[in-house]
Amino acid sequence: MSETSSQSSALNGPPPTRFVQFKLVLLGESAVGKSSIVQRFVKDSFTELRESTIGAAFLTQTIQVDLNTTVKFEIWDTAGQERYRSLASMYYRNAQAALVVFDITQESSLDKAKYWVKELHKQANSDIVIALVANKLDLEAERKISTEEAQTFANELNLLYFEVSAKTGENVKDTFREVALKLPIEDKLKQSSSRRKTVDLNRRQNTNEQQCAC
Amino acid sequence: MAASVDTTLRRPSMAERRPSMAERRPSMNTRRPSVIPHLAGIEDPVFPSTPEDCDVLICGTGLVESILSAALSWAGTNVLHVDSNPYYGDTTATMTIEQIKAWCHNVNLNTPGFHGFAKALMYIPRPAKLNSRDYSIDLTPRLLFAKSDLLSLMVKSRVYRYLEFQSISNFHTFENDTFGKMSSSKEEIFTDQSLSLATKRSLMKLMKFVFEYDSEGNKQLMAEFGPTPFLKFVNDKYKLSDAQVNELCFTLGLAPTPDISTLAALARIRRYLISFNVYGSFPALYSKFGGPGELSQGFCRSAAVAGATYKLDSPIKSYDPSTQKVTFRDGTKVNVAEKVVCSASQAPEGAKNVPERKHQVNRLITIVERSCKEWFNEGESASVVVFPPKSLDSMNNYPVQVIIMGAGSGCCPAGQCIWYLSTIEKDQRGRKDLESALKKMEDSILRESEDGGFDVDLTEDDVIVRPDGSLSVINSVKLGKSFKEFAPKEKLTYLFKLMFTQFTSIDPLDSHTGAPSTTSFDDNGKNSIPGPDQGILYSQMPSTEISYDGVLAEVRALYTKIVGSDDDFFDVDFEDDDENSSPSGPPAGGVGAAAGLQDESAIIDEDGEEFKDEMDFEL
Amino acid sequence: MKESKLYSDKSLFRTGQLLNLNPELYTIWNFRRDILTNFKFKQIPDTDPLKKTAALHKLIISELQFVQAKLSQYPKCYWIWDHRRWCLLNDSQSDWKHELDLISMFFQADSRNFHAWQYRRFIIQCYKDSLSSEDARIQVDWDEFKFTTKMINKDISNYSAWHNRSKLIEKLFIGSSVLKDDNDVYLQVFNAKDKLKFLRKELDLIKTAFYTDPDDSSVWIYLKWLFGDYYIKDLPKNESRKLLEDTIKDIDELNELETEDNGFDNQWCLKSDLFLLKSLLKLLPKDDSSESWKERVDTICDKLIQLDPMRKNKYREHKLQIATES
Repeated sequence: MSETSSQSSALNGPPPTRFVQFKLVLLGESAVGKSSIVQRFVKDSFTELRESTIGAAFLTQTIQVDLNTTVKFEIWDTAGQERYRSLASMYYRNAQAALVVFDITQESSLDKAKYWVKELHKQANSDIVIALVANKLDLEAERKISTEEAQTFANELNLLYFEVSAKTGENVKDTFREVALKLPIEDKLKQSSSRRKTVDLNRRQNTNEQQCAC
Repeated sequence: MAASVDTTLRRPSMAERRPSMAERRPSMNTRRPSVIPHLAGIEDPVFPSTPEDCDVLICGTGLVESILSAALSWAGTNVLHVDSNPYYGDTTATMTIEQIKAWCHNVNLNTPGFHGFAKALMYIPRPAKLNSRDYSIDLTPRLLFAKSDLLSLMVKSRVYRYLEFQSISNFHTFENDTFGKMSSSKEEIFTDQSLSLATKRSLMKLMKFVFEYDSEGNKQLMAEFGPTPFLKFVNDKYKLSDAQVNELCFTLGLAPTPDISTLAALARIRRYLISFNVYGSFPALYSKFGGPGELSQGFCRSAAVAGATYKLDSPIKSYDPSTQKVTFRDGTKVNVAEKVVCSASQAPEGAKNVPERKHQVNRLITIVERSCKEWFNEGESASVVVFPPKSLDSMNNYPVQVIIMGAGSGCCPAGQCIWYLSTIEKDQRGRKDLESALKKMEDSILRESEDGGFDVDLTEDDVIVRPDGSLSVINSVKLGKSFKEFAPKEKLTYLFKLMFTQFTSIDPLDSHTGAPSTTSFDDNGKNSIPGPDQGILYSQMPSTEISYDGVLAEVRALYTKIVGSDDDFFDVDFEDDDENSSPSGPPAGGVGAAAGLQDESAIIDEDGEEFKDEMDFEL
Repeated sequence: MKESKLYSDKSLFRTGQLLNLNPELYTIWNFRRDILTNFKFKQIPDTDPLKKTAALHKLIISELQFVQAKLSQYPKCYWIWDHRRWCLLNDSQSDWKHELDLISMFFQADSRNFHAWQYRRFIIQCYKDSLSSEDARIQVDWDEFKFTTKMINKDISNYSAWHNRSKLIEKLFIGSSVLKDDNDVYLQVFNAKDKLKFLRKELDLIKTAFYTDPDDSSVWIYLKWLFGDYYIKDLPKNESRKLLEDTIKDIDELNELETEDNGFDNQWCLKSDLFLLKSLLKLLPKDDSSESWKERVDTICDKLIQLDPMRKNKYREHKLQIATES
């Protein structure tokens, strides 16, 4: 805590930043690289190994959409529960954005993605913003699914479409940015003021316990 | 990790040979050994075939099984967690209308996987009015006390972040045809004009005792009176009215039976009082979008993050203890290295070892076309009502407990409300008591709308603009209050009614402790009956308890049975990447901190005034 | 560090770090104040007095923020309160009302923090000093009186609240006429200068309090204060006598219940009785009617000798005193 900078805090600051949060879920078969995409976005890193230090909750990352608006993504990874198509209803609840990921080097991958889009239509909010994301752009040489094919599918179902590489980072940030721009930011800002009282379990009220041996 | 070696197993027990997760995969973060879970299937080429091996197989994704799954997974166990249903939650599930219809059907057919329930009666007068997915109905609704082991675990394990909680501060007792709320804090007792001085004194004495009953000084007293009925104890020793005693025992304490022991009742009342002021002026919380069903999903997710594999829609057929192979109904097999745990409800067909279920709870769930907001405190969407014994026209022997969930909890659409009623009274009598309670609630809500605010809104169609510009109300019937004589008596519209019986092995007298004695285990296959379930560890059907108490005790008992001890139960450092890790665990010194009954240490007035020693009167 | 008199932003920052670890280090607080006084304050240019005051104010505000953070973590550490006090005293633009509101919020979470009450008295005094009219000052006292009522209702076992209350009563009896709070019964009593009525009202409150919690010392101490000289000397003898007799009766009733439940007398009841009886005896004519009261004193002293042997000499003295006064 710098004492020298605290002096200037009272003076002119930037215009108040508007802050809004959205839940984003990832879908797609295992091994298409969903988690790698998130890791690239959140930590700007990529590891070949299976390691991941995701804690028991979820990952967050903010993105500035304009001069005074910041969007925070609360990103839910499937935690492997998609493997046997056993995602819980909690997973979809209140999700306002979804990335359905497939692997351009796996032929069946797009078909599987179609299943997930259907699931979203069944389980999620009707106004959820869905982005179809083709991953592993760095393996262009081994491409089995053409851009046209995927783009056509996306257009049919009114999905956003992006091609990315989690490994090189190509287009990852832009994907999230474009998704953010499609989200109902203004509505969300108005909504937050009228939210009912939720209790934050991590913040306990009692101050009586604090003692100092004076 | 203190583990007792079980020599009857062919291999060393899991507790011995299993290294902790942190040891298996060295952390890149050298500060602390943080847990790095294997993100299941991230780079594997995956074909959705059942895994061939696992350490522990758990059948049923009810709350107890889900917490167990997470505990084992975080400890490094390879868990395969399945459920015969296509949804999570099993006996504690939160369901949509369509799901609960199917459930009803199965219960009445006694389909395998739906054991432990009976006589489900459903009534949906206008099916078109119900949009199935708008509803989240709990099979076993529960209240989460602010000071409870499960809440602490959810904070520690970060599972609470998957959920949203709201407060519930309205606890009412039904007495003499009205719903009342008693003074239970020192402040309330002091300022309550309706209480006589003698009553204030008695009440405060009892409150103090609630906090001190387990102290050294009361050891002898409790040894003598602890096991005796609470109602007799409190009537002998304290001069309180029946109404007050009822409220303490059945509303604050939420005792399911009047035979509750003194020890159990005191523990229950204390639970209510110490939960106050932990998060605010309310003792309990409930999770939005459903109760135990949501919590189950949360813990399953946690388990999945820790590496557990999830497969719904997978009923098991049999288990062979000699080969340690489980066969599923679709023919696939799994080798289970350690144990198979199964929910009593999902026991395989022909099972012989399911624990006996001597006790029952009758439940009635209704959805009404009314917001019931007059029953909620500001900012809340739920409340609790208790009908003590003998308070109903049916002269109920046992209390009827009711949880009222409004639309703000996310369980139903706006303008509607879900009422959950339950009693441990058996069979036909139980159902009668429930209906009797329902009638009283119906009368009450209708009466309140007539006397109090308008539960009816005037819309543009009800008003016309006269030529001179003034407004005239054409639908005078809607004005309610002022035209009461003309308004026809409103009837409460029920959109849904479900009545069913649930059986359990857990004794209501012990239900809040989940005493290990209530969990029955096989004795390593020696004394259990041969059959498709020989050697399986069963988890219990949910207890009759309306709080989450007892759940964690059961999980720990199962955990201990599998691992050898519960020393390392959830002994994990959950470091979040996007925030500083906050200290886990409940605050120190909770008892008495809430109700302000603790004395502060000796005060010295620095102004040097007269009052030096509090015991020293200058005479 | 202190010896070399190294006053700088860096050393200021260091004190902050140390205090974050351990706010009890009062020498570090001292040093911090030294740095502020001899370095930071001196940094502000002297040229424009208005600008200087404003700049000083800003400095203090940020310092107060630092203190506030510490306070929520360690609400019972004297040195933190002390530093806050120093901050406010060093700023001519201190907003006492704001500070009062801040401290009132603090009481929501912890109404019995003795440090907080002390601090509150300090703030109120400073606030009153900053006001120009006597009327405004009395308003503060009246608000404070109501605040003590609120805190007592919240938790009768609040010594500081009762204590603060006792300090306000005298002032209110004198200056209350300027106040406008028509519906309040207490205000009417103050305005009417009706000490008897006030006593009766307070005794009602006390009675509810000692029934609710017969072992709460704060209540009994306040009771004793109520029967101190301030009131008794102003009331006509027969009224005082009635008041004393009634109160003794109330206490006796409570003591009966206590004895029934616990098997022995409540010491507070006995001690209070003793005190009241002595006052009563002073009022009574020295004739036979006082004999029964004297016997009571005797009995009580005997009981107290048993129950409170540490002070037995004192009780023996009382017995002797009563006997010799006849």
